[in-house]
Amino acid sequence: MTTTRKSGLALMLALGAGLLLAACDPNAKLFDASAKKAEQGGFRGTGMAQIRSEDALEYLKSVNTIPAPPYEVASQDGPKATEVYENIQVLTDLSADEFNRLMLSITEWIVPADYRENPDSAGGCAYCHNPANMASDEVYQKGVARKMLQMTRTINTGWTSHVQATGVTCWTCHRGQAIPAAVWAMPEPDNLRGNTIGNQMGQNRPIEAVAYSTLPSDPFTPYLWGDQNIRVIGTQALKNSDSKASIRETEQTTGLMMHMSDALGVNCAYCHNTRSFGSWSTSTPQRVTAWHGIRMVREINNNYIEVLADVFPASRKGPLGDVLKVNCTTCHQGVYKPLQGVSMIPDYPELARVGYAEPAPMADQAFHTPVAAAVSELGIEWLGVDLTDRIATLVGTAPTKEAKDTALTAAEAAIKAVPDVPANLIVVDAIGVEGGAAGVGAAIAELSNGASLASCQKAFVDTMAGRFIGFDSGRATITGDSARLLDALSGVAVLCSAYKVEIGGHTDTRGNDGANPRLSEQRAQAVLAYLTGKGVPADRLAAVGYGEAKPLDPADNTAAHERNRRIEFVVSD
Amino acid sequence: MSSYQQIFTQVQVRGPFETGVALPPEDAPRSKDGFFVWLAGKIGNAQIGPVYLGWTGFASILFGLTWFNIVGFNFWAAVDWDPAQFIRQLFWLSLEPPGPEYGLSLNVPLNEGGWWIISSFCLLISVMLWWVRTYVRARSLGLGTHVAWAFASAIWLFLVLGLLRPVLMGSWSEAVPYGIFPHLDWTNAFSIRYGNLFYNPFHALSIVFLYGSVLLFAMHGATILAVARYGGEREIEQITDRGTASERAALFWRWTMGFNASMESIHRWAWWFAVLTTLTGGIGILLTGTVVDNWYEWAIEHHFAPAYPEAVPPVVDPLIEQMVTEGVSP
Repeated sequence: MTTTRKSGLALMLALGAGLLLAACDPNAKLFDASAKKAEQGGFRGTGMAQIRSEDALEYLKSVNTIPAPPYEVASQDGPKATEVYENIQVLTDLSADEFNRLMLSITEWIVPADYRENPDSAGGCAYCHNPANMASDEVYQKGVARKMLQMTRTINTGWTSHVQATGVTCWTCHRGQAIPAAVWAMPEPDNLRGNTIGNQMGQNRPIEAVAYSTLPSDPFTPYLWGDQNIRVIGTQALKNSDSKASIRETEQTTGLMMHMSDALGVNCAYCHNTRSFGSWSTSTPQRVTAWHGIRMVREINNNYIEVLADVFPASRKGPLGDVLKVNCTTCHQGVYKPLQGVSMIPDYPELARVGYAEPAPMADQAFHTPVAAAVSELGIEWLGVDLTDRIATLVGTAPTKEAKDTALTAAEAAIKAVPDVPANLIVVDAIGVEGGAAGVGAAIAELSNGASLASCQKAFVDTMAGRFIGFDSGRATITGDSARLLDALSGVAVLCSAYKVEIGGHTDTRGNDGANPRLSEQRAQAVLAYLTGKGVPADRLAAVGYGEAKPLDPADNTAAHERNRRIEFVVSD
Repeated sequence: MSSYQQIFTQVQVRGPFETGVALPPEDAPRSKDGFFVWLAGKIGNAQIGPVYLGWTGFASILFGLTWFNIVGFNFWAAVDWDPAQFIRQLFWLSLEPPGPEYGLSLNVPLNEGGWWIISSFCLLISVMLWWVRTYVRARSLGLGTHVAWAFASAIWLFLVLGLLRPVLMGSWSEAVPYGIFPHLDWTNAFSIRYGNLFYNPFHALSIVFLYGSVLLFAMHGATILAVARYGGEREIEQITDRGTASERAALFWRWTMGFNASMESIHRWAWWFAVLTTLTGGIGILLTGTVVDNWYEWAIEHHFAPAYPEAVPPVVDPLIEQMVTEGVSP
């Protein structure tokens, strides 16, 4: 009898606890294991998993729909919109057919349905236009729409690092509403700061922006409008001069991350490695996409939205008078690929057309003369510059090391100041010092009589002779003092781009056998990234990590270790 | 016949009011009266009191209450003295230390962290006086001072978090805020800032001892309850006799896993595990930020972190790519 009563009690307790838990959550299905999906994205045991509720996925699928276009894509040929209509300022490259079709869609994308159905609204056109004179600009929404169209095209053509080929349209954010569902403005400051008690220091409030954590309540203003540093995690094992970020700053950054996680419907491991949030080399590719996204949002908020501060009425502004701005949720709305990754660009190619109003590219090498003039204007007798392709090699023999450094800095600044100089112009230091060392890029002269396989290999070997590309210990981060060397190598690689160059990373014989090949490959890749950043064609380069497999000196002493830690360049056909 | 069980007992341990031994003449008197509580009798001794307060106890409670009230009134003020919001936001509210701009200054406006400094001072006095009390009371009763030293280990971690580490870092802002969720978010931010506390070996040791304490507590508690029918709660006095609860308990473990602690040593095991939890934890926190800036990098350098095969191709920091494109040295 007692046993029955006891087990009955235990059963009731267990059931009661289960019911209590279930009652706490409106979505009781969350407790059904079969309704959850865990996707492993990393090596087993590292927790690189995304856990998703199938119900949530179904729901998100049902709300992320796309309205059908009004009719087939219009022809780009035919009379231009500018020829048919007056006062076209932004969509000047569209045909009138394209223009009409886009206007129809924009009305559906942005103007609320009840407004469109109103017979006085001219089918919704009156939301931005004066129906009596469509060309006039008295409705402020028209000015906003112009800016937003410029923004959309900039995103689709200039921010492919974030939106890739999928691109965005007005619908991505607006979804049939004049104000997108998720926008933000600066919150009213904590009015308790002026009191004598109760200050929460701008945090510790249950608000949605930081996913109901107690992290600082405005994660947007510092990072998505301003460009406050997001990186707070130490980059080296031990305390050093860069160890500055406080716990407060870390909480601010974490607040932004909570927002991103919430906006995309993902957890930290979508972008970060569970073992080290800070390390890039072990992060997922999504982190790079997100990095560009943060910068894209900054540009949107600064260059396309806040510039409209005088255009927007007070009803479109926050409590402190700043315009309603965008964050990650504005487009993403709970899914990591907005609109489930479906691209609307095939239906609206004009929103991603490259070349509208782009400045004409400068003729090749037209900058050579002004660059040479800028260097000679410095009035340094012994200094000269050789210009080949987009490589400016500074030559000459300086009387002292100090004179060389001064001249190098001045010449570099003068060259960069020349208008229309290409962004990927490479300045190579081939300046020698009297009785001292030759410049780091002196070997580039070996290629002046044409680049053969042998001369390219020799130029790489000579450039690297006695020099090291510096890396932070145990990391693939190139140290700042290696920039001159890497620029010289970039110059050689550009001149040798007829050949393939393998960048081989080697570590010393100490350290972890598993980590060494990986680290050496990451280091080689960092060099590759530097070179491609300087405009060396990526398809000519390959990065290989050899780890400690090919030591130059098998001895176990500091000198040997130093010789063995190296990057080698091997040129082939 | 009713039987006595150690927990949720059916029999109340309730005798005539027990006043305890006489105190030495130099001690302050105990509170004269006590009373019986039926519910207390369900889980332990039904008699409450008399309490030895003394000046250390009195001052400790006074300073402790001051801390509690400063924190509580700051919470309440933060919701504009609204009782409903006080309840609703209770777990979010906090008394924050001064911001990094104040460094270690004591000249901080009340509402910018001054309250935190004053209340922390009160809490420090309160905790220290309570420690003195555990030491002095043990001595007056002729006991060893094991409780005081175990408490001191916990105080070590408390001091590291709220005083020693902030002083070494040169900023009160490094200290833990007084709030339910805020101290948890602080902990999370602390681990993120310093490259994942998982790779801090002292953190690992602390967890070993914490979980070990839990395991030992469960094993010992279970063992004693299991031999309660033989009077197992009279642990020590049974050590030398055959067939006692004590011997049965020892045999159980020896036959189960080949080794048994003795009735005396199991308490040393438990004491050391508990003491080492906060002792190692404190060392781990104290080294974080003062010596080590990124525990993951430290663990990689010292082969403490394992290397895993890549699941995705490694990515390059876009900031470095951007810098090289723009011609800035990385």
